[in-house]
Parts: sequence; structure tokens; C-alpha cells
Amino acid sequence: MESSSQTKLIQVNSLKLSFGGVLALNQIDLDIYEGELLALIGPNGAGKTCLLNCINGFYKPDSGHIKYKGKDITTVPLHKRAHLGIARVFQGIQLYDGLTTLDNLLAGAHLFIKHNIFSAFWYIGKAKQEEIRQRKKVEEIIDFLEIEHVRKKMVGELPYGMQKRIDLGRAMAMSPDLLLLDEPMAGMNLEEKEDMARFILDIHDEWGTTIILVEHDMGVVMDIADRLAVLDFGQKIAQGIPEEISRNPKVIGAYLGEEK
Amino acid sequence: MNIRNTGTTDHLDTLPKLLFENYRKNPSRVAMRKKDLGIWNPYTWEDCYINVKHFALGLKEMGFQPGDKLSIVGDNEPEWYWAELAAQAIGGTSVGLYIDVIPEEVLYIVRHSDSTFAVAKDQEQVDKFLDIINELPNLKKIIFWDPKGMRAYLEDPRIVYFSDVVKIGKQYEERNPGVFEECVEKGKGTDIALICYTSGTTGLPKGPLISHDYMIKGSKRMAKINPWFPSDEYLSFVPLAWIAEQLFMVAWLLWGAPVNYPESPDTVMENIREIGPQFLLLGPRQWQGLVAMVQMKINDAVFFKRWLYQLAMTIGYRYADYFYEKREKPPMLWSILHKLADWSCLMHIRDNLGLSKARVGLTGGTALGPDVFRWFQAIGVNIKEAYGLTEVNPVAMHSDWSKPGTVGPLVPGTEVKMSAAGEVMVKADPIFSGYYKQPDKTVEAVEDGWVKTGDAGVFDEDGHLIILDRLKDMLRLKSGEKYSPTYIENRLKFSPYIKDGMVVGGQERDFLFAIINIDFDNVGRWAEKNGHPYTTFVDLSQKEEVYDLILKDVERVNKDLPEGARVKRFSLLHKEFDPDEGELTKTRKLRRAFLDKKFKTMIEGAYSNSPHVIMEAEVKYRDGRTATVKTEISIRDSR
Repeated sequence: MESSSQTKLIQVNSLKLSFGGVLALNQIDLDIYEGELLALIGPNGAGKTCLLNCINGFYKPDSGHIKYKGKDITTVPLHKRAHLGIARVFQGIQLYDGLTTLDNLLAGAHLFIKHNIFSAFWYIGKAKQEEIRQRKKVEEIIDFLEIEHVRKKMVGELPYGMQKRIDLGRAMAMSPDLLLLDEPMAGMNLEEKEDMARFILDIHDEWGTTIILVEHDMGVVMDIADRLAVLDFGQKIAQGIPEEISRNPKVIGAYLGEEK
Repeated sequence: MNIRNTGTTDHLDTLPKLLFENYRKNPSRVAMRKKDLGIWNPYTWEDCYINVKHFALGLKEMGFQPGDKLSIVGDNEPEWYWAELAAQAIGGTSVGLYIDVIPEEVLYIVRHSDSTFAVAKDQEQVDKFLDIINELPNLKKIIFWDPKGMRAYLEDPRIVYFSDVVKIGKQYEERNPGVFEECVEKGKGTDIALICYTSGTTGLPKGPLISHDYMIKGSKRMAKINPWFPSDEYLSFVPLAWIAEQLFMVAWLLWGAPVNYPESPDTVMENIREIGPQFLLLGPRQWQGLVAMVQMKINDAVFFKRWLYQLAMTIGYRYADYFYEKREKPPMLWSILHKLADWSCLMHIRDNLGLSKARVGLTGGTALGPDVFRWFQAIGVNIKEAYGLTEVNPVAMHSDWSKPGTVGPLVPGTEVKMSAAGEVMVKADPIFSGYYKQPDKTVEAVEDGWVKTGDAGVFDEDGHLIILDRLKDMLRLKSGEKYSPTYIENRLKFSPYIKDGMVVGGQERDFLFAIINIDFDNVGRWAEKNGHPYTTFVDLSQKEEVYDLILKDVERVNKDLPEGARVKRFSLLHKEFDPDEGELTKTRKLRRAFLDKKFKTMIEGAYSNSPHVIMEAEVKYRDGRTATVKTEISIRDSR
């Protein structure tokens, strides 16, 4: 889906981040439009994960601004950004091993629970309504990701590819407007990668979620992204649609090696 | 509708009429359940009827004519069967496709059946049609019922959402009330309800025409052996494109026992437990899956639980032996022990599998392995095998007494005779109504009303039908007596002491000779327990006592074989058949020609009546040296 509506969901303006003498991000400008699937690529250490960390509030940039839905969120703390609708799937799996798939997803959705301890104890009124609504939402995600058969299984017992899928579900349970995916396909086999790519596309198409994807598998990225942004040594060296990027000599130089 | 209730159900001669009758009698009773978003959603007879009615009228409005065919593909779900009933209600025929069809098969079946409409579950299935749609000019619409991932498809004018068809039908009904009921009433028992394309392992699939009469009478015959009650629960999982599942769905219409559709193919085992069905039809692979699941969990259990399981199963096997093998009442002691085993273990296994209430657990298609059969008997689940063909069904089925290795006694109303060639011929009222557009094939398959099954079979002394093999795989002895080596070998393998075997015969020989591999673990354990010391496999296999033990099994197998085609002599091989030595294929099938040559001395010895032969075998050591090992192998007579 092309970024049909040109509303900017995220605006990154001259973002700078350094660790001591290492300049991790240098004057990054990047706009992400509502409803688009933007892939962030670049060689190891280019600053992709740093940029995600800045967007979702793990790192505080040295200078520059990040606007979300037109509002400056540069100083908004991490946990409040989740409330704003920014969800993230990390490189490593962030699930409770000792809980079932269902409980993990419910935990993801738990953020938005508003009822108080009294009504929750007696399971009445708002608590009941909310629980039912959330369970329904979680069940829709289970259906969507085709994980019915592991609904009541402990997450820790499941294979890695399945855990990654559930981790994605956990992020979806937050009903995000912006989903940050950090190498969701790392360490997967071909079949699992294909499944994951299909789910990412489906989330994007069916739920209309804006997605920023960091991924090393160029084949996947070129296939599914609407637009790409390329980082190299903390600088944005190119951005555009996949065809442009794959022809861009700078990108080829930085990412795929110098052409002889 | 002007269908008067005359006290019997004989006037209800089509499936849509039966649906109407259920709706008329029990509109608010639960007819179906489908698990969706984690919840079992009930559908009443009224829901079913209204959906079928509106879908049918929607089809009609979109141009579906009486006599048209509707192809359906997807997981077992309410929409699948509603679509079928809808097509039948307006004078059409349903054509079921297996879920794993490839586009080329879709093309063949849709084109051959002249389907004008198709119902496909979801994106995956719709894509198969889209691949080949340009070659199907007569296909007007593809209807899908699971909207997931279908958003981009809705712009295609050939693709419609199931609910939208229902809406179209609803509007049509408002303008033309009573049309649906008229259509249903016009239906006759001899109308073709389905075309059930055979899986086509040989050549292109054929399309047997199945009438409403066939379905209803077949289902009633089946219920004479294993009756249904309205209070039963049925779990529908095996493909609806298969005639057996279709017959069960007719039983649903006849007896009104709710049918439950699992959430997804991956959750079937859990769903069985949630429902606790009285009726269950699963393929051999699923039954096997249940056994494997339990065994895996037991292996992970703590020592005490493992010990308890072993103990309870030992008692269970022994107790089951009295019922199924010896056919006598178990002695008091075993009854008490069994009660204890049941309380402490077996009952809980049944419960965990969701089989506590299972009265009829059926299997069909291919034979179920004997160990699986016995395992279920030991935990107290009476698994039943059934035999039938698309052309005539059901033929035979176990009732209360299941006998592994047979497919049960004949279903009342079915006649079976063996042709001169030993082929099983079946007659029933009615049989299929011919192959669609292939009258020549129909003539080939039916002789004076007898359907030729292509299977070779015999009856055992209890009147149970035994299917030996495909007729074309049968061999003959010198006397002309037919036998199936595979069948006899499989029967031998029913014994825990026999691992493998090869039956030798052929047109130059007078009798059958069997080369048998003992099961080293089991025979070894037996020998230890009975005080017969042994050293190696060779030593164990040549023990007199072991020969005596195996003799019993050979004679047990012989008992069910025709006099002229019994195993008259056998030998216990000093080694196991081994794929590495080229004796078996990688999938552990016998390489007969090779074995014939390799064991030539032994076979010649067997037919020249010698009591033993000396086998010489060349052994290759790791360092490349070779040596010849001589082994004396006995040959024993059996009756």
C-alpha cells in the first residue's frame, strides 16, 4: 500500500546521539507517513537500532526533535510513549516464559486497563466489560497470527520462530498506531521468514498499522517495504522506494560493498 | 412447506428436506458448534436453515440453475455444509474438493464437473482458483467465507463474500417468499446430491454420482450397527470431500446430534477434549497421533507415574485380551485389577484424550496398525474399523466387538460375494448412480448391480470381512490358490515377537514359506522371563523354544487364511532385514527380487523339505577384510 494519505506520523529532525566520542546518529532527518511500511537498513553499527531506541524513548538524543502525530515527544518518557500508541518488537524475545501465549498477549493488552482494584476483585461493571473486550482483541490476534494451537501452552516451551510470532502478537495487543520491528526475522529459517513477512504485510494491510522495520535480509526488505531509509555510520545516506535504493551507488557502496 | 408428517421419515427423501424437518421440529436446538476466537459458537437449526435458505436464494439470484454444480473447498466449517445443502436445495449438486488440492486438480475437477460456482474458504483456496480461472470460462463466481486477507480481492467482480451472498438471498426472499420451500419440495430421492471425486491414485479422478437415496439409506444402514442418539456429540474433522464424512453429516440430519467443528486443524486434539464426543471419525494417522502424544508425555513424567502407567497398561492389555481375543468373561481377579487400573490411570488417559464418552471411535481409509488398535482397547476405547467405497458405502463395520485385522461384519442391507477371481463384490440399495460423463467406466465398475471393489478379500470364521490387498497385487500358487504376501506379512507382524517377514510362494510352488525376523527386544525379554538363556541374535533366533513361540503366531495367522494358501513352513532368520544391505527400501519395504536371490539356498531348502539349511554369508569388516560366516538355520513345519 502506498502512503496514500501524506500525513506525517513521525517527524525526526536533525537528531543527534553520541556515546562518548562515538557519534551514533548524526543529524538524522526522517519523515514517516501514516500507513506506510518503512524499512530501515544499513550495515552493522549504522545506528538503526539507536534510531528505534530514540523513537520509542529508550535513548534520549543529544539534540534534535522527534514529533509524533504533530506533537513533540522528545522528552516524553518511555512508558508514556506506549500509551501514545508506539509498540515495539525487540531483537531478543521479550515474553514471560512461564506464562501461556494467551496470558502474554493479555499482558500486552493490560496497559490500557482502566478499572480499579475493587471492580477487578469482584469482576463487575467496567472490569468485566474491559476484560471481555481485551480477551476478544487478544483472540482476534491469535486468530490473525494462526497461533490457536499454542494458546494455552507455556511460551518458554515453544520453538524460537513461534515465540517471535507471539512477541509480535504481544506488540499488536497494544493496538499500536506505530509498530517498531527490530529484526523480526533474525535467526529464522526460510519458512518461518516467509510466514513472518506475510504477517507483517497483513498487519500493515488489514490493520493499517504504520510499521518501521529494521531487517538485514535484503530480499525480504525489498519485497515488502513501501519505502526504505539507509543509514551508514550514523548518517542517512539515502531514502526512497526499493527500486531506487537498489540502484543507488551510495547504498551499494556502503551496504553491499564497493563496486569494482 | 407442504411436507406432512406421516409418522415416519421415509417421505424425507432429500437432505434439504431433512434440514427443513429439523428446523420445523426443533428450531432453537443447537445443531452445530464452531470454535472461533476461543469460544464455541452454537448455531441452532434455525440458524442453519436460514443460512442455507438465504445462501441458496443468493446463488439462485446470481444465476445458479437447477442441475448446476457447486465446487466446495475448505476446512470443515458450517459454511462448507451450508453451501452444500443450499446447492442441493435448489436442485444443484455439490462437488467437494480436498483442502490440499493443487490448482491443476482444481482445474480438472471444476472443468470435468461443469461447476458454475465455487465456494472456497479463504485466500489460500481462492488463489488456487485464480491461478486457473482463465481456463474456466463457465465458472461464474468464487465465493469465500473467511475474509482474512481478502480485502484486496473484493475489487475482483468474480469474487464474492459468503455473507454478501446471504444478504442477496435475503433480499430475494423478501421479494419472492416461498420460492425456496417450493424448490426443496421439488427435490427427489433419486436426484444427485454430490459428485465425490475419487482421489485418483490411478489415473485421472473419476466422479461417482451420489444420490440423496444413497446418502440417506447408507447412513441409516450405518446406524443399524452403531446407533446415533440426539444427545450425542459428533466432532467433524476428516475432509467433507470424503464420502464417509458426508454419511456422518447425513446422520446429523437424521438424528440431530450436534456436530462440532474444530477451531483449526492444529487444535483438533484439544477440541476433542473440550467436546468429549460420543462419535468420532478420525484417520489412522490421527489415532496414531493420540497414542504418540500420550507416550511422549508419559516418557516425560516422573518415575512413579511411569511405573503406574506401565502397570495399568499391562492390566489393560490383559483385560482387553479376554474381551477381544478370547471372547470370554475375564476372571474375577482380572476384573478387580482392571477396575483399579481404570480408576488410577486408564480412566484419566481417556479423559485427557477427550475420549471418556466416546462410544464410537471410527477409523477408515487405510488399515490402522494393530499396536494402535490394541493400545486403545487396553485403555478402554473400542476403536472400530469400517470399510466402504465411494461407489457403495458402508459395506462393513465393527460394532461392539472390534477385531483387529478385519473390517468388521457386513452392515445390514449390504451383500458381498467374492468373484471367481477373489474380488470383493458389493451390492446394496442403492449404489452410486454412475460416473459423471464416463458411462464406459461405470460399465467396467458394475456387473449386474454388483460393484467391483478391486479389492481381494475373505470372510473369517466369525463372519468378519478381511480385506487382503488390491486384487492386482495378489499372487497365485501352483494350485491356482490366490494369496497376498503383503497381507500375510502384515498379519504376522501383529505379533509383538515378529518384527518383519517375507512370504515366498509363486506359481511354481505348492505352498507358502515364510522367512521371519524375530523382534529381538521382545523375544529376548520373553526368553529371559521364561528361563531360556541366549547369547546373540543368531543364538536366540535358532532356539527351539523361540521356534515354538513363533509357531503359535504363524498358526494363528493361518487360521484365517484359506486352506490352500497357508504358510506351511517357516524359518527364523539369523539377522534382521537391513536397508543398508539392500534388503529393504529406505521406507522399509521388502525388496523381494533381491531377497529371493539372497536367500536362495534357504528357499530351496524349504521346498525340498530339509529340516535345516546352512547359510553362508559374506561379512565385510571395517578394515575391508571379508570373511564367510556359516549359520545353520532350522526350517519348521506349520499347519
